[in-house]
Amino acid sequence: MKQILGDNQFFGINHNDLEKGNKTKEQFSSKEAIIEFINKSIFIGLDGYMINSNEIGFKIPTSFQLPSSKEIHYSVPYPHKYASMVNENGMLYLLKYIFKQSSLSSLIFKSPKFLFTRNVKDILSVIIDLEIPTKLPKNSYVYLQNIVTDLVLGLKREDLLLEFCNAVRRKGYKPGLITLNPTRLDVVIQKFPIEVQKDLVVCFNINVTGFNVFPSREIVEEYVKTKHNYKKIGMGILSSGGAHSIEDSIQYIKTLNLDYVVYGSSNLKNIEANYNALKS
Amino acid sequence: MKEKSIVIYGFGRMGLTHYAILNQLIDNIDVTIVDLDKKVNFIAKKNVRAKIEADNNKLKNAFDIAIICTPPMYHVPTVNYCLKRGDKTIFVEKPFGGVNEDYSFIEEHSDRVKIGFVMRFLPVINWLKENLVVDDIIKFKGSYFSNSIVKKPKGWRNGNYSGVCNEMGSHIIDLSVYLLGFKEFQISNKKIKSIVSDTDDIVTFNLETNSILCEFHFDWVNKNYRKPVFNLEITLKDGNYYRVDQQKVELFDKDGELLTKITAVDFAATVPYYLRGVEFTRQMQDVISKQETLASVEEALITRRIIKNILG
Repeated sequence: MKQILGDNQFFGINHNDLEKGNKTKEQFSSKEAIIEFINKSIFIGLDGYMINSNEIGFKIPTSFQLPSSKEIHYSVPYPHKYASMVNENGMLYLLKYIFKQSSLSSLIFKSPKFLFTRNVKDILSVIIDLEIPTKLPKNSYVYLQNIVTDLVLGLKREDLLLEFCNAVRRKGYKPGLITLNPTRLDVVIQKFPIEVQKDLVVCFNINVTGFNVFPSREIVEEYVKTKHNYKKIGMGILSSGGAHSIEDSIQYIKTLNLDYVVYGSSNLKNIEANYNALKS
Repeated sequence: MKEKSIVIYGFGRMGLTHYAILNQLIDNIDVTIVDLDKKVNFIAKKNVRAKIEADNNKLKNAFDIAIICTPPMYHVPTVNYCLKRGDKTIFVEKPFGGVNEDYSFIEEHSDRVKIGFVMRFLPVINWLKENLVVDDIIKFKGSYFSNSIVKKPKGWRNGNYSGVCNEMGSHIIDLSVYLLGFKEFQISNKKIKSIVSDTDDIVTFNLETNSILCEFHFDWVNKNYRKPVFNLEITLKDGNYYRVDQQKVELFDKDGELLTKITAVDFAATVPYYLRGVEFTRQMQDVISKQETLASVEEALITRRIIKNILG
């Protein structure tokens, strides 16, 4: 099981305690502070890091070099930027923004079909181009954030998820889908071509307390234990710091045979302790 | 055979969210989306598996459920139309119209209308509703902070149907109505500031009801907040007090010592399909089932009267 450093602590996110989240953000107020922490975590032994495409995160993967054996897991889009845009100016403003920010070549070669079909599927690669830094190392994982994955699931537009995966693969990266509804997403992925499934990683919540595990811990456990063509990465494994005992959380995760886990902390000692506990 | 016929008015962020959730909660649904914006319809027709309609007058047959997510100036006429058409359940997004609307027809048919104050469905609020004894409460403080508005909004969002009181404060005011159960009140010490928009950006006021003093503070131009955060502080007669936010309930004694803490992890709330928060799914589950937690017209109009008193 590979271990990936999460990014919640860099951006003040804590799903269990908002005040704690705000405090950790102060520690990582610069790109350099984040890079230093990532490097130290990699030195401890972690197999890579995850980072979101927000204003700071967008710059991180091209600001320093990881050893070639280590992995970058990069998530798109930055939800709050787009949510603010839609809140203030409506959904069509979002489309206008995408066209305005895209390169001319991207618009000429990738947009005409959208203008004809009006199908969002035909503009996905333009959106992806906006969110991924041009020099993101090849073979990095590029994930679709759960707010988008799960919305698309709800709209029953599974074709968009397949198109996302294909667009990411065409760019030389491996696709990832973050979801809070893994069993529903699994039904969709089963219909993807095998070659897409083999490149794919699905990221979802799983932990001993069942916090933010939907529809239930028991059902998601069964899903994890089932063999799939794609890889699985568990997140929220420590219940956002709200678990009764870190030891219980880690022992539970070790029973599940996940391909990856992702976790964070603002304290390197905790990273090291968790790394050793998961490795043992 | 289709199980439920649903019409959704307004296909912005909330219309999209409710549609996605209902699409997952109900196996067979027949959805019609009505939006006056031709550009939205132009895109929606090719991307959403629903009937798209710009002209409401063409929809003559009653629906099982009407979901109204339009800008608030269209709430009252749309609800009236749905009532006359015979729609069985009508769900209207908050803030439910404006301060100067005529709600009389809706009040006459209020049993079919519910209003979407989604924070009622948060696990922390559910816990408070089950555990608070209103007669023990002497003070209620409610606040809502965010950095939602960084540039002056355009259109109706910069007018008197918008503002922090309507858009965000209405949630907290509704929580006070829901938890404290009052109908009559007196407002004092109101202060309103416009900072970024031309409408209210920061609002503070006091409200007295049933021997409970309530203090409210809403601010949606606060750069210290990445995500919207609400807080409640509820003081009891014995001096103990609760502090509540989206994620936890803490009980302190009168000296500030923590007595009990219950967090989101302890609640471990689950839903069959998650999008944006358990409260959004739970709200739609209530729409399609018992409707026990949704705000009634009477309750929503108390919130309306409070906001009208504040904004004038």
